[in-house]
Amino acid sequence: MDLNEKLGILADAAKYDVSCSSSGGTRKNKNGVGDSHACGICHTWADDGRCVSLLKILLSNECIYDCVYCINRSSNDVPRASFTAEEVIELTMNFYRRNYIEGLFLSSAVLKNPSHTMELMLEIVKKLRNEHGFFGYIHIKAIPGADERLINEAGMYVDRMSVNIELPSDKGLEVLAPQKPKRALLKPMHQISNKIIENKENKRLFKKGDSFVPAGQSTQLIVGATPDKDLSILKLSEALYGNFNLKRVYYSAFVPTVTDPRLPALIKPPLLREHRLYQADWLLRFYGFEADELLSKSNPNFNPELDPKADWAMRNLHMFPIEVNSAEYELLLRVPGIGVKSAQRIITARRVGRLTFDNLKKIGVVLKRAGHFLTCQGKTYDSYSSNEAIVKESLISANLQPKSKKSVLGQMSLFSLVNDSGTDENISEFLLTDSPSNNRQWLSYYNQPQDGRLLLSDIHL
Amino acid sequence: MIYIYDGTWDCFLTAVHHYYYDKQDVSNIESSLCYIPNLIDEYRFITSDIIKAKSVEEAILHKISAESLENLQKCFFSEIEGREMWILKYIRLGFKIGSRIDSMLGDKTVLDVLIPARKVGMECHRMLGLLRFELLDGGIYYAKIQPDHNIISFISPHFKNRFADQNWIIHDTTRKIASLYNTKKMLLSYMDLSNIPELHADELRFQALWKNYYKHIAIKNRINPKLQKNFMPKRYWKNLTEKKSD
Ligand code: SF4
Repeated sequence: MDLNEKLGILADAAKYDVSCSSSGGTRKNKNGVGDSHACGICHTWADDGRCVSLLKILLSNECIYDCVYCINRSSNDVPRASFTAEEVIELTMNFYRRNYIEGLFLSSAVLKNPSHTMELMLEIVKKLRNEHGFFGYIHIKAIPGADERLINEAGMYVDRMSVNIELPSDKGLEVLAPQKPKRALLKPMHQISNKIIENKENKRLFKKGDSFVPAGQSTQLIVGATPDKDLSILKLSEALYGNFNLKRVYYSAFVPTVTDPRLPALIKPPLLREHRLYQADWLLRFYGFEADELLSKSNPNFNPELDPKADWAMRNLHMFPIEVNSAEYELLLRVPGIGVKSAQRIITARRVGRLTFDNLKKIGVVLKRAGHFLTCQGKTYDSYSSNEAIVKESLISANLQPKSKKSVLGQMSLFSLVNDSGTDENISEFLLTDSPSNNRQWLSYYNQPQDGRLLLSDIHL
Repeated sequence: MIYIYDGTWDCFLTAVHHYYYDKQDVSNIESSLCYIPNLIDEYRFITSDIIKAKSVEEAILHKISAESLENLQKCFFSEIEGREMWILKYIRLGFKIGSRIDSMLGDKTVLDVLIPARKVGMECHRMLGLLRFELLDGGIYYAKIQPDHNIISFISPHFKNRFADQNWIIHDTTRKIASLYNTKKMLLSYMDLSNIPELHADELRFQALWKNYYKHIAIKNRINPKLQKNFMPKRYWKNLTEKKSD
C-alpha cells in the first residue's frame, strides 16, 4: 500500500480525537529544526471549521479490541493500515519544514498488544528527537496496559501525553468498552501525574535533566454516547483537574460512525451540548467557578438557551448590580459580557480614572449582556432592568445575534474556546502576547534605495 | 503645513523630530507615495535622518514605554491611511503623561493607535500558521505571502528560530520585499525574485500528501464552510498549498 493511501486511512481513523492543540509547549530549538510556541499556532482550518495544528494520525488502526463506539473496533469492516516508524518520521519532518504543522499527534489502536504498540511509538519519538534534531511539539496517547517503563521513557521525549477516558462513567465503559475498565485508564493517568510531579521536584533540587511531559496531560470525553448528565461529566473534569493535574479535558460530541444496538440512535451529534461543556470547562479553569455552582442534582444539564455563565447570573440576580469602579476582579469575571481580557483591562484602566459606560464599550465589554449587572459611578445602563424575565429575554437575544465568529457552534479549536466561552474576547488579542518581537535592525531595508534591488544571485545562500 | 516623508519608519520619525523643532503647526504627515500636491497647502519635504529617528525612538522608549513603542511601530506598519497623525497625537500625549498612557484603554487618542496595532498583531499571529514553504532546487525553502499589513519584519524572527537549520526566503510579493536566511544570517530587503529556482523534485509529492491529509481530516457530517472562512479568510487561500487549485 502506498504512503498516500495509508495516510488517508490513518488520518480518517484519527480525526475524531479532538485533543489536538499545541499550547503549553516551550521547547527551544537547539541547532535543529523547530520549537514549540507557548500559546499554540493553528496552521489551517479543515472544511468542518476545526483548526489543524498537528499532524494527527494513528500509527495503526488494526485493533485487537472491540469498543462499541469506535470506528476501528475489530469487528468493524474498514480498510486497515499501519505506518512504519520511518514513514511517520518522513511525514512529520517534511510537513514541519514546509510549515504545515506545529508538530505530531500520534495515537494508535492496539496493535498486537499494548506494550508492542507503545514500543513502536517510543521508537518514533526517540528517533525524531535524537536522530532528526526535531524540537517541534509532540503529543502521544499512552496505551493503557502498556509496560510502565515504556510509558515513562516516552514521557521524556514528548511534550504532552494523554489517556482518553472517552466515556464519562464506569457504567458506560462497561457496556461500550468492556475491555477498558475505568480503573485501567486511570492507572496510566495516575502514573503520568506522579511522574510529572516527581520530575518537577527533581528539577527543582538538581536543576537539570529533561522534562517529563512538560506540557502536561489531557484526556477526552465523548458526550452523548451514554446517558450521563452534564453534571457528572463536569464533576469528572473538575476531579481530573484537581487530582491528576490535567492540563485539558476535551469534549467530543458523539458522531456515530458505527451502528450498534447498544448505541443511541443519534441523528445529529449533540454539538450544542459539547459547546456548553467547553464553556463551562473554561469557567472552571479561568473564572474561578465550581461545578456545583453551575449545575445541581435538581438541575443536572446545561440550559440550551443561555450559556453557563449567564445562566448562573440569572440564578444569582440578588448579587447584582455591582459597581465597575470598585468591584473586585473575581467578581467582575462573573459578569456575563466581561471576559478575562476585559476584566484585566478594567482593572488597568481604573488606575488612571473612573470609568463610564462609554469607556467600557471601548474596552470590549459587551454591554448588551453586561448592562444588567453593572453600575458605573452609581448609574445604571440605559437598558438596565431588574426584572428577571426582561433580563433573561435580552441575554438570550444578545446570544442569538449572529455577530462575528462567536455565534458559530461546533468548533473545537483553541481559538474558539477563547471565543465561545460566553465572553467578549477577540481572538487576536488573546494571542497577541506571544507574537514575535520586533527587532530594530530588521527595519533596515527601508534605508536601502528602492531601485538598487538585490538579486537572488547576489545572495549566497 | 504638511510634511511629506518617504514612507519609511525612519523618515517618519525624522518628521516627528522636525515637528518638535519647527515652530509651525503640522496639519498632516503624508507619504510621498500617496500624496497629490495642490496649490493651497504648504509642504515641507523630509529627508530621512537616522540620528534624528533614533533619538525620537529613544525618547518614546524612555519618556513613555517600551509597550507604547511597540504599539506605535505596529500601528505604523499597518499601513492604514491616517496612521501618521494618530501616531503623532499619541506621542504628544505620551510625552505629557508618560507610561500612564498604556492604561488609558478607553481613550480615543490611544485607541486610534491600539486598534491598528492589534490588527497587525492578529495578522502576524495568523501568518505564523498560514505561511507555506515550498522546497526549491538547491535546498531553499521559499514562501510567498500577500498580507494586508506590512508584517514581514515582525514575523521573520519567528521563522529564524524555528527553521534554524534550513535556507529560506519569505517573499511579500505585494510589497516586493523579502527576508532571507541562510542558516547563519537573516536579511531583509527590497528584492527582485523573478528568477527563483525550480521546484525540487520531491516537492509536489509532499504537497499531494498534505492535500490528501487535509481532505481526510474534515468530519463529513460537521462540514461548516462559514466557520472555516471566519478563521481562515479566503483572501489567504491563494498561497495555501491545501487550498490552491492545481
Ligand atoms: S482500543 Fe481504541 S482503537 Fe481499539 S477499539 Fe477501543 S477505542 Fe477503538
